[in-house]
Amino acid sequence: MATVQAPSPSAGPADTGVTQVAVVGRSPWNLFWSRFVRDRAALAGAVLIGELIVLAIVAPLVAKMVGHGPNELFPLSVHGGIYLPTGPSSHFWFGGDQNGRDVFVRTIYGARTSLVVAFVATGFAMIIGVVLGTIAGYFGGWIDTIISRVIDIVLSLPLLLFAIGLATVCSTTATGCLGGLLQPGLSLVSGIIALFTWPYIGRIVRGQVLSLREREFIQAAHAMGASDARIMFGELLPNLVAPIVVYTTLIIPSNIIFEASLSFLGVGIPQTTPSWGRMLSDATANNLFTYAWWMMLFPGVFLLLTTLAFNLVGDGLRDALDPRGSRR
Amino acid sequence: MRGPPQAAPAPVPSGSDDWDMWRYVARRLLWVVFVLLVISAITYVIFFIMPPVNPVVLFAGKSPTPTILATVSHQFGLDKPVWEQYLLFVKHVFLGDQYGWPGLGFSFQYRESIRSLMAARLPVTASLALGAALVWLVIGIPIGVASAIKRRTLVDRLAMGFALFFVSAPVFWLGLMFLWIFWFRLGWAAGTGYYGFTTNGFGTWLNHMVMPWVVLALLYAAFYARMARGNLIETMGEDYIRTARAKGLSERRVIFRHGLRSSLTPIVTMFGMDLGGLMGGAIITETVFNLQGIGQWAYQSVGTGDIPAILAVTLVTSFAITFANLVVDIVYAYLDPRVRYS
Repeated sequence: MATVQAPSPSAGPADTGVTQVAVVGRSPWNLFWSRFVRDRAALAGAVLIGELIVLAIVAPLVAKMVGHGPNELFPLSVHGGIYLPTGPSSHFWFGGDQNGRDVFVRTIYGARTSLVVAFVATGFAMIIGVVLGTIAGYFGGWIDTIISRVIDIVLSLPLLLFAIGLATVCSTTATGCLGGLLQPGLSLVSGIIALFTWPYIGRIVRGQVLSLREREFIQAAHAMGASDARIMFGELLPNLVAPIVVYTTLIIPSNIIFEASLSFLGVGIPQTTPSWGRMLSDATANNLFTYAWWMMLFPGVFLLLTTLAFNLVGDGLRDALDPRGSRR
Repeated sequence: MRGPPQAAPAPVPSGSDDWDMWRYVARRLLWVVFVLLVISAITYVIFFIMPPVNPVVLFAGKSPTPTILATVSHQFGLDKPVWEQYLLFVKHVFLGDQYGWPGLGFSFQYRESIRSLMAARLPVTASLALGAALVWLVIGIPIGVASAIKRRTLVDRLAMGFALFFVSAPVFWLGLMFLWIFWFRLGWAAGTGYYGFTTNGFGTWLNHMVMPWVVLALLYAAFYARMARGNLIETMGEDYIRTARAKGLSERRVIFRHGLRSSLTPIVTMFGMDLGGLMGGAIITETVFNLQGIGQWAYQSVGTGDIPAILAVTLVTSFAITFANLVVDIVYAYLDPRVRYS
């Protein structure tokens, strides 16, 4: 802990040089940035995320270049009358799957599904969590009691089972469920994941608001006659950016795994949408993975790299924003 | 699957004496009951009002006549209004039904009492959860402690690399990779399926459980290693550790007697919740390794519309989680003298 810089301007360059250098106050943002860029693992994670995003965006171009669509069938290999997937080759870089689809193209497309669901679901979870957490912490009393108890209850639910149930229920008809709020497809999965993960953010935000609420600048805002909404979103929220960013980033990888788990179990994401979880589930059918290891290896490695990248960045952000640096 | 990382547990409010503790426990038990009522109501809303598969149509046989549908519906008790069904369910849970206490009803799928079906699956889930818990404690905590003591060394970097890898790796992929490598390629471990130790002997049981234990435990071990490391590093910066060192205690004694105690108490909280959650079945691990536990049963029941089974599993899991939470908070007060009840 001793090596961590105190977040004050006096720890700047002034006490090092023999020649007098003008003391420049470093903003919290400068401090954060200088810590973050020194964290090579986090930078590597950020670069990897950038590459994955680019890959997801250019997926149709890749498909065009390779000449195989994500759902195009190439029943190439016949062994003794049994169709078996073909292994990696110069035409099929990651091999083919049980229907003769190109695993490489599907893996690239899978990045789209994973990233879209992860960002949309986490975004919704963040908004709900921040709004409810701020309201609970700021108003206290019975409002806090209700919101906190709801959080407790959601966290005691068997998450995956409920998610499977909701996903199955809402996929049976084209209109979706909850009055059309959840439509079958990616939005359904994102909605379900958001519904079950906002309490993690909500709880953290509430705790932070509870301690900030008693600070002088909030009292000053009260004294100046600021409205509750203004204090919550104009005064409190800017001070919550750091923890919100850190915990949101750390929830993204677990949401990616959440989506992959649902797809792995065959619920939520429609059949034709390539998803890493569903590709892995295809590999398990009839123990196909014992022969066609490429069906298991490539989607799995991409999934792992994606979660790893987000975890690296999340840890890096946490270390850079936490001035106590206790975990480093 | 395991949820995202959580913030430190809320401390129990302060106060004192035994009477306070019992009042606290009673209040918490009431809360457990309330949570279970709410959760079963939510389950009812999801699965009874909007069933994934209509169980009546599914179980009435081929091309059923309206009379048969009505009979099956009546047999399942689905012809009553939803609120009446729910109240009946609650009554049966508290007072028991024709199969005994607690009354969990009968399975549409197997036409058997849910209690006996659950009793058959509980040993599988318990084997998996308890074994895995042992493995992750044995792996995770020593790694975290070693990493904290040897901070910024190669040991620390390797340990945290291990933790990061397994925190990120999805369980189902890890399970497949393990099966492929250790079962299919190397032939070291036995394949999938559950073999009870009363019928197949201890060796067979163990052989089939080792891989599921390790696969499930690695994720948790990684979380525990990270948490143990973070907590221990934080504790070692406290004033009383400096005092202990100043008294001339050996570094070993400072770490193991003074440091570990308070740094491991938050892990107790996490352990209770994780184990409670797993008692409701680990759906993914049970599916990958084809273990007929509670999780796999619940997952299959969603597909077959066996609503009473889903309801029972939900109830048991939520009970395990909330009850584990309560037990942990009480244990916590014994471990950490700063905590008192009110």
